[in-house]
Amino acid sequence: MKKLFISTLILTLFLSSCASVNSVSLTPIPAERGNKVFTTASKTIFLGFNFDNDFIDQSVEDLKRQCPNGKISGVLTKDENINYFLYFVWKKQITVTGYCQKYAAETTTGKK
Amino acid sequence: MTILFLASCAQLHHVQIGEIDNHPKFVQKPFDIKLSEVGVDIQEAGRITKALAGKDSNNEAKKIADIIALFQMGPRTGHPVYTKGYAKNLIQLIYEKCPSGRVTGLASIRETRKYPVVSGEIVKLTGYCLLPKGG
Amino acid sequence: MNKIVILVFVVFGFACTHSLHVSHVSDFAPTYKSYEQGELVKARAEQFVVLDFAFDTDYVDQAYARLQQACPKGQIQGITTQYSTDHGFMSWTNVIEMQGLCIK
Repeated sequence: MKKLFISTLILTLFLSSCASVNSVSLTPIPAERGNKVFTTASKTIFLGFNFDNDFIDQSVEDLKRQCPNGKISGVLTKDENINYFLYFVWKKQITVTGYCQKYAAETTTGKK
Repeated sequence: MTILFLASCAQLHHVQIGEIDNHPKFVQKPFDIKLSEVGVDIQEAGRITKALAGKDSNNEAKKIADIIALFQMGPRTGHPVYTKGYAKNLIQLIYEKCPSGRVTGLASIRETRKYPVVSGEIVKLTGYCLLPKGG
Repeated sequence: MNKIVILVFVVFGFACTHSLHVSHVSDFAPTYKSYEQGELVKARAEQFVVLDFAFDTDYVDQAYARLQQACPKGQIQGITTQYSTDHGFMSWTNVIEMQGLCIK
């Protein structure tokens, strides 16, 4: 019974996670909100060994791919920590949500 | 002791910088807004009391500080403050500085000025108000 | 003297404390409207946490959605986003407050 209790406790500690927000920011929100774009980038960190934060750079590229020839506004940037086991292992996650507004295509008529 | 109490440390927690519009038809007038509240670290107060008090009060001060810590649990940036919403009216303050709303180059800074036991929990906002050239 | 110190501790210690983590103000572009030309809209969302057992951060997305609902067909400029925590007894409440000027 005691072994079962300890095993359940250890399993719960390993499988559960605790999420917390580090920082959040929001840019001006447009009137047109039909086309939502979303990306998330994360990195798992062991024992605090983290030598760079380059994983964030892909977020901007990913959003640009989702909105070619357009402008992304109403950008919500959420920086969160997800702790897996007593901060021996945790995940740093950046979630970015926004709205894409396509620019009107220009037509060339050749008229003089 | 005087030097310890008069000296302070500045600590930066978060900074974000917005778009900067250098439009040639406008002049940029800088402004800044500073909102602050006094933060108190009960744990540090307990440690100082423990160091200064007599032997008998040592354990008492520590016990009280530990009990109080249970009532003030949670994530903290700088020291905890007793007033909520001291930085609530930022938009109104920005419009006081720049009534037209033509604001650019906004830098939002969250910092702490640390003193023994107390601290200044500061929200600072700097920016530029765009004024048309020629009045 | 010691009793006075203890009393001060008790008075300050058991009062409610708060901590402001982030305060961000967004741009006013491209609308650049004055205060009178818009309407102040606000949104707030909370998460009550006991002993750090918090499994998601959805309250941020809730505040984002509520702010948009407060200004359904307008643009929102100068958005102030504040993330703070209200401390309590072995628990706390994470709070996101957003306010902006709705331009229709």
